[in-house]
Amino acid sequence: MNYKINLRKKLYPLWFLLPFLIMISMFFGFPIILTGVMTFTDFDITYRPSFVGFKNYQKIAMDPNFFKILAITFTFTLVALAIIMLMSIVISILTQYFVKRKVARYAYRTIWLSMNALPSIIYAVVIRGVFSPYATSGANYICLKLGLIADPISWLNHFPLVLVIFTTGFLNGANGIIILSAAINSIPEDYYKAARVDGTTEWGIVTQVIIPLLKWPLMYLTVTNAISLISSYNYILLLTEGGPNLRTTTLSLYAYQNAFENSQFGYGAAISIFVVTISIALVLVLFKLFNFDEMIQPCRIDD
Amino acid sequence: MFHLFYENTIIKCKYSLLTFLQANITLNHCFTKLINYNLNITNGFSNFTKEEEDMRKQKEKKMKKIILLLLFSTVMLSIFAGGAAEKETSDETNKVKTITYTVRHDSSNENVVSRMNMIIDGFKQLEKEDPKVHFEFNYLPKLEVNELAMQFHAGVEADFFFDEETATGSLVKGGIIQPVDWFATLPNVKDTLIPNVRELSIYDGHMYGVPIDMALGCLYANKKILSKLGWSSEEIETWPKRVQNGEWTFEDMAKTCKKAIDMGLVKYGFMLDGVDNAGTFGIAKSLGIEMYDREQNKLIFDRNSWLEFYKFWEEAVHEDMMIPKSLPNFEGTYNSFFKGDTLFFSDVSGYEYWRRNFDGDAEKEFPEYYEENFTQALIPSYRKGEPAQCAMKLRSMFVFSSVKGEKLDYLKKALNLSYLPENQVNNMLTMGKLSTIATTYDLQEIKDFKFASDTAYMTDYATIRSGHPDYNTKYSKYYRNQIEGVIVDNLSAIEAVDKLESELRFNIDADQIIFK
Amino acid sequence: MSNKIIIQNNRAVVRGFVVNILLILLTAPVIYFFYWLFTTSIVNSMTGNISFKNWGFLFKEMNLDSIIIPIIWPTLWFTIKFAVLVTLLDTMIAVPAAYAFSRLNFKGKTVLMKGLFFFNAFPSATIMIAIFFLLVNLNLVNTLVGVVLVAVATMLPNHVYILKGFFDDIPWDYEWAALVDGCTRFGTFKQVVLPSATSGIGVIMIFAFLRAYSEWFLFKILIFSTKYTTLAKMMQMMLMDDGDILDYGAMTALAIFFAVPVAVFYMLSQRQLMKISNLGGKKLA
Repeated sequence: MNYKINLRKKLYPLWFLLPFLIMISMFFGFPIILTGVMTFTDFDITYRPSFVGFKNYQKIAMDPNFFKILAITFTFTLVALAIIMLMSIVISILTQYFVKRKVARYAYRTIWLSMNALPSIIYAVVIRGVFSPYATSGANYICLKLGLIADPISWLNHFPLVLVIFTTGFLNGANGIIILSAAINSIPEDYYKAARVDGTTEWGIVTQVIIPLLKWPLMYLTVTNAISLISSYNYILLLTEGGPNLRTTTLSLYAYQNAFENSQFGYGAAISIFVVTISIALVLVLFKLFNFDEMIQPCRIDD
Repeated sequence: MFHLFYENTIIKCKYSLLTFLQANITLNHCFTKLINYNLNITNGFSNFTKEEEDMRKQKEKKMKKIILLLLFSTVMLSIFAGGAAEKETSDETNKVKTITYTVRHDSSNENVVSRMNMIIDGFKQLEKEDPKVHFEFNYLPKLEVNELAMQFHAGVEADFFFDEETATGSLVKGGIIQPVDWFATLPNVKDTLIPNVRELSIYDGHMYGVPIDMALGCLYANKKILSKLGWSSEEIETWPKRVQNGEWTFEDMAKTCKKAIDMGLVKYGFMLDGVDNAGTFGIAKSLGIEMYDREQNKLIFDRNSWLEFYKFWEEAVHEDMMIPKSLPNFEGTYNSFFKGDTLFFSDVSGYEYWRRNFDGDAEKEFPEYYEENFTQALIPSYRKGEPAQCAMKLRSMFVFSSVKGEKLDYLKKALNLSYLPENQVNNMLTMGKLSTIATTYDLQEIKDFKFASDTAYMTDYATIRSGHPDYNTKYSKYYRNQIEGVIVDNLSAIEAVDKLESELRFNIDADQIIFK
Repeated sequence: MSNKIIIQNNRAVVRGFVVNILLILLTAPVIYFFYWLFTTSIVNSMTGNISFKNWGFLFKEMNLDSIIIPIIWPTLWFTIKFAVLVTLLDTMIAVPAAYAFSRLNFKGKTVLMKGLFFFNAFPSATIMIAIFFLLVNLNLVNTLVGVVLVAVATMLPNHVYILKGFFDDIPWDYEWAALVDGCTRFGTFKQVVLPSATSGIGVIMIFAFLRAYSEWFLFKILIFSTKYTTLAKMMQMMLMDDGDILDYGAMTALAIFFAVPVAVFYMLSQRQLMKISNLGGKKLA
């Protein structure tokens, strides 16, 4: 009888997990494996792939643009990540903690959340419009009026990386605001009262009460944003298409271009796998940094 | 009928939207109540007696049931409403045979509809001649080459589509299209197809795309500014001829631009539509760069001529201020030409594009405005005595390799009829693309359409970009990247050429390119 | 003593002032953006007068220079239908899975949880070819079912993770109490844990709905014709047209129309969204 109960105990979680496991292994896991296999072939538009072993990976290493692209990828990820985290923290703390009136809080929240509402294409078009090289519109107009510059600048030509990083960071930051706002909201008032009674200044409350309590949402945000930044090329593609002379090409954009524009699916997939490896390494480092293992709670019911 | 459908759907939409919103509000309400309930538990003490607790539990159950019911009804309503709206019309089988052609064509894009209409006119005439057959057309969205290959290999059936000549190589490599050598032998086409076009359509020994229409990329000039510069009206009239003969070269153009900019008449001397594929190709050709070897079907890289090419860009941007430094992302290139900010302009887009970029009522005002203010000529040669030329975008119809037998026969016959001059006229007049049949230009309507008839002679001087699969995606992109590098990053010509060479060596298989 | 209070009060006032200024500066671009959207859609770009021509797609087919926009209501209808289907399927699969991760013991739990993060690392475009051929072999390509399945599968890892956080917040006492009273494990799940986690489930449903509402990439690749068009796909078709001049008026009008249901949704569901408390972290003492 014991073995029967043991078996049932082991199988029990399966019922809960089965649909989930089937879905992600079939529609997510399996394509990933297939893509991995593709990297060892020379799959291209003829759709008659043949195995070439590690040739694609060797090709990555020998690519004359490789280091330039790698440097751009790291710059892009780190700076955009900083922008996202800073923006999320600053704005959520400001709106959730400092703003006292409920109506104002509500209004700010809705405005920032609505930034998520539109697809990225619109923002790309808007940025192109604002930073267009004409003297009569957008940024050039403001800068000329303020006397910062003498001639209209072609922003997308001279500062492509800055624009791209700024756009990606700003628009992804709006996403993180939801999560941090919710987390701040759930901090009980007693903590603040206790801190104030102890005589902490407002800045002290922010750094010593709020931020430590946000450790887990912050970790979640950092990790997920880091991963998605390494593999994001959405705004780069829409704004500069890789920049004048490859100045804003990141690894994942390079992979996309090789796969879909040059029809070299095998090589593009190899670059993607390389990108993924970097992401995984980065995430493992972050996990260690944030003590991820403590988050997994064991089951406390033993039946 | 459409009106009914629309009203029907509106009512369903409104009803479902309302239900959905209602469900949301109710959900919100329920959530709040449930959260309050939970809060009470979390606080550790319950304020309620047993009866009140029972009542609350019942209310909670009731609310859950209402939520579920609302959700369910919304979903069901939407599915049924949506399902009812999609009615399939069934084909009736008559005694007449119906042949359906699946065309990959954006039937919603008004600007290219006239191309398809030309083909449809041919089919309609065929129907009149042969009353036992009836043709239907089924449209699928037009796709890029890659997605097209993906769907083709997934078994999606289609019959033909339209695309540019640069796609030929990739499509042939993927085994997607079949050669159409029979086209040149059709009775209506044999003698009237422009010989240059016939030559240029051949890729790797066969004709793969039926040449539908073309756009020529020549040099446009602002007449008013030229006269302000001191050109007499006779000079302006004979200017196209002088370019054609090779008397007026790039040097002359550079001098004219410099003069105009120094005099303050224009902001920019010579403009392209961005660092464009076809536009820069035109310049490259006039500098004498050969990128493609037709016999061997291989790409060519000639270091010396590319060095000259990049030197030209260096000088044009830095010294003469001929070309604006902001060219790579310049928006509104056409606009600046129309407004008179630019003296010369080169682009391969065709009349329709010009019309759309015109501020104002294009239908009525554009033809006159154009004739008054602008003139056009071939792209001048770089050195005196060498022939001038122009770049051409050839739009072809590609036939999938799966089309066989009867369908193919009827297609041949219909095309034969489409290429009668009368049928070619509409496409020219609505879209301004030039017909590939020489006799069309003899028709009076075309003679009156000045934009086309003035440029008709250029077809003999036209060159096109190669259809080699590595050209469009790689070669052209790399050399344009280096142009951007020269303009924006201030690379020197030698650096640019070195970079180009290393990229070509790395990315293109050695047996596909010849290095000189 | 009173001086200190006065100083503190003054400080509070100044602080409030500074905070508000800072917030307004930061939010100003966003507000200006919405303002620009609104005005561009109403003002006729050439004459500068107010005209509602751009909003014509609400009532009839709009014929722009390069593309024809069909009447918007059937498309909106279809988009909502699609989003609801995705939401339901996603919730039905994610809830039990999150409960399992939170409350049950099984082999490979830690590994799987860490692995959930990595699914985000794959750029969707590159696995799209593999997905395409997978669906072709399953005969699901060009069908609504196929797109729904793929959309749900790509959302699941993230949602399970967030939901797990909610389940973790529910004290073990409830379950213990229910078990002591004779409930089965599944009974506790249904009757005790689920009701307490409704806010979390609400959050997941909102995320899923909004994500599905903006989905266009899958429709571009997996659907072969325009028979299944969502609002987002329509916007993409309009905006990524080859190099034609953008009709800013029509685009902004469509963008506002697209964003209004989302904004309404956000407003109605503010409470739920503000309840993502610990995201799976340990309860801080």
